[in-house]
Amino acid sequence: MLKASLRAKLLNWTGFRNREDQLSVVLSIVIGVIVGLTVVAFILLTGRLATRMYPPGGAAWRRLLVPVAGTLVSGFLLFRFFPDARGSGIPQTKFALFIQDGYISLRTVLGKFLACSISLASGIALGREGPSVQIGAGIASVLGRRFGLSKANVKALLPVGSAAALAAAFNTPIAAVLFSLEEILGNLHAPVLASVVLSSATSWMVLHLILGDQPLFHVPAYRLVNPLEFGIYAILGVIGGLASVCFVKLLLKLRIWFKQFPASTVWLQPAAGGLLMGVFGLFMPEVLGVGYDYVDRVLTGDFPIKTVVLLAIMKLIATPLCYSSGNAGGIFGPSLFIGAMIGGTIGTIAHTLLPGLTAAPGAYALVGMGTAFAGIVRTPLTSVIMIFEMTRDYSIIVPLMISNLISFFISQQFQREPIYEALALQEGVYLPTGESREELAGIPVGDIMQTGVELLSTSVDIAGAKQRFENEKVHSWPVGDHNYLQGVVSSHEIETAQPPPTTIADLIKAGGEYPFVHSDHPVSYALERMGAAAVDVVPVVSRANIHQMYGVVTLSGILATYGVPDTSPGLK
Amino acid sequence: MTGAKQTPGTRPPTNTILGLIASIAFVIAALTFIDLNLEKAERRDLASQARRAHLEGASLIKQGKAEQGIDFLRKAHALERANTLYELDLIDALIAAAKTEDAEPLMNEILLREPGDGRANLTAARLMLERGKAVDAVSYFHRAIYGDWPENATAHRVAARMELVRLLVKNGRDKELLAELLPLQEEARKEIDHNPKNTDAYAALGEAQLEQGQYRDAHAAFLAALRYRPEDPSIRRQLDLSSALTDLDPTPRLLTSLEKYRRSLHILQLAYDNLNGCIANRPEVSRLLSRKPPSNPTNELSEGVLATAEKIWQACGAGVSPKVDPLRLIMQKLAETEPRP
Repeated sequence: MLKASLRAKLLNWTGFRNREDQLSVVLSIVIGVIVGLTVVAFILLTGRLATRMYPPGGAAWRRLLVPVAGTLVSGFLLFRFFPDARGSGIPQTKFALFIQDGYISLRTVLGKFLACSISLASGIALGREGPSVQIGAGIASVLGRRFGLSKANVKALLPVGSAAALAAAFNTPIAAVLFSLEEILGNLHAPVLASVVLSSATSWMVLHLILGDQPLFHVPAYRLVNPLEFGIYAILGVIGGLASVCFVKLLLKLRIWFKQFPASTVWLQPAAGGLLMGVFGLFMPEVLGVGYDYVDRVLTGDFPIKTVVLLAIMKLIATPLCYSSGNAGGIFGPSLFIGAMIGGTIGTIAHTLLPGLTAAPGAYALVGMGTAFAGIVRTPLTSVIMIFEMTRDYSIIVPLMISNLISFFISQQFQREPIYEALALQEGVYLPTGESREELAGIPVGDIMQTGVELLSTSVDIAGAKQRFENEKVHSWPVGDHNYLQGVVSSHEIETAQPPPTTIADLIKAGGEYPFVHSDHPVSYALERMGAAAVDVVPVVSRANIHQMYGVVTLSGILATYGVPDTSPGLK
Repeated sequence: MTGAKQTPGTRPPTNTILGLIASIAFVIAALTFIDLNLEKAERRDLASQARRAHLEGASLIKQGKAEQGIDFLRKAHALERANTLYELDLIDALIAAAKTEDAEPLMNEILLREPGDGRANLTAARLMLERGKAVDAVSYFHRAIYGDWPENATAHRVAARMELVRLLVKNGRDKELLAELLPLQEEARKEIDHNPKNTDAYAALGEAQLEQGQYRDAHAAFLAALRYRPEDPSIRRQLDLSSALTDLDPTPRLLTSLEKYRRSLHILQLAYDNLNGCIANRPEVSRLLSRKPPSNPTNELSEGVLATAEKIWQACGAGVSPKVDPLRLIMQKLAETEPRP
């Protein structure tokens, strides 16, 4: 008895309501470790395969043939064995989260790992981060299911796995947490925050233990030389935003174009991306692969402008084609690459024209990376934090924010649907976006509450209470005297109470809990409270005094707001 | 992660849980093993690629192909960022190619990482010199001299101090120069005791002795250096200089009065030749030089000639670019000896 009481106290203190909560926290750490190790293996294996495919001093023909061969092999594997491992991995993770109750099969995880290792090593212009997210979410899903977690908890583990994967793939633990909440879940205040942070940090530690403490990019300490530069950074934001729109539109159009071909050609389609890469790579080897080495060089200002411009244009064409043709790989890395090249170009021009007033071109390349990321992926907060974490350079953060926001707004203006939602729409899936969720949840309770309602007095007898329910056409009503709210009673409570009550006062416990909402709560929250307390009326109370009632919100009122007629029989 | 399908929401039996935990432990162990091996192989590959790029870069730079060489050195540095040697070689190459703007961020990076590294500070001193910041350069030279040198510390310190001495000589900072010469001599001797075949140590000792007016000792040191490196033109040049100075020096005690007078006249002649434009209107110099040497010159006579030479030097020589030539050195020595009438 004592043991049970102690356990209950401990659970209450830790906030763990049940066994699944505890298991989820432990699993977050396990997921962090396994995903971290898997992503490190993925990075290293891809690198080693690439070294084998392109040995130092290798012949030029390799640059033409290897991408074609690589995409053919991975295309066949995807078509024949791992159809769910196609694409970036982010939309697929969102499908799993919102449509498939968090289900990602082990086969998909293995397929993503294998197919991406081959295709990315062969030099196609896609990145490893999106696939890592699906691999991470997949591992979380598999573990959750194996441990017998409920569907809701398995779903909750997906962002945990995604964050762990991104933390290891980009070496950015904070941005990984933000991305999981901002993009995958679309809710920065999600209750899984603690688990997401835990797994992200664990995965990052694993990465550091194995690969050491090196940022993804090495950037000299840049700073703002002159306030005039804000103008140039704003121009970079505009150009980056427009380039992002072009990128997304081209990718979506090409995707539709490829979809027109017969299903039997799906295995062959990825080779179209491989062929383009081969042709590009033959003339300019720098375009092959995700190209982080070259981003590093542009960031240190060590690249001729002609090459930088060419690389930006080639990547802007190659990545959409590689993606749309059905290759497995992400667009995070390429968007950073394109941004760095655009920034490098603008920076070089600015530095040539105004050498004393502007920072080195590398500073613009750095800001450009965030700009393209914010424009293409449309996660402005994540992009700022990500660039900061990748480069560990705080001095450029204000220009980065300005440029990112401009790019984000331009992208939003010219391309209404964010890329992942648009890709999902092409598959006939309506994913909830962060924006749409806000719109749905955006109606505050205060807008629809009934005011001037009378409390049910505690002295009223049971028959009087039932009469009141019938008059109001509800099953429950708030109780209190002299405008002092004391609780909520329902007809179910009246029917089932033992011993049978004579007045309402018999049902009200002093200091007892009762459901309520505040006027600024969204109606979705009011619905949740109704469901949890099994009532169809909740009082709207003051934030300063929960016994002071402003009005009530009823289930029929909420339904009416959404245009649903009230068909409940009431007590009649 | 493998095994029978589990329906969500149903608690698996204890045996299954234990099996799962064992599977997870196995997967973690296997993945760690794979990762560590892949990482080791990756590191080995990168190190080998970096080494190749470094060798190629160094060779191209030796051939005078600076731009291509720098490209390879950059690659070596990018492949192995933690390798200070590659980074310093890249900085040296950038300095040599007058790309000091590119070199500076790399230099700051190293100094931040290894502020006490002797070679890094020496390179920083050279970079500062190239950027015209002599005061900063001197301070980096000192940090290099007192910094950490993992191997042959004394030899490196001697070399660093030698570079500092050359800078001080070039800038005419005599007081600071004097402060460096004695420790340079001591360190060079220590290094020679430790490694009697160290040519640079002999050369440094010779330089220090030369600057201190110990021409005969300097000559011996350069001779020893030349024995181990007979083809070195700079040592040969210094040997010739020390030899000339030994022949020119009028201060040794055992010199006959006639010899001392002859040497004094030679010095005056040198001063006259070097600073001709400045002393064109000095008839007493022409008179002294055209005079037939007396059959029995006294030391006082020689001192008078030397005093004239010094006057000319002080009047005109201070503005002349101080080169390492016998005249400057001999004048320096004369200035340090007792005052003349």
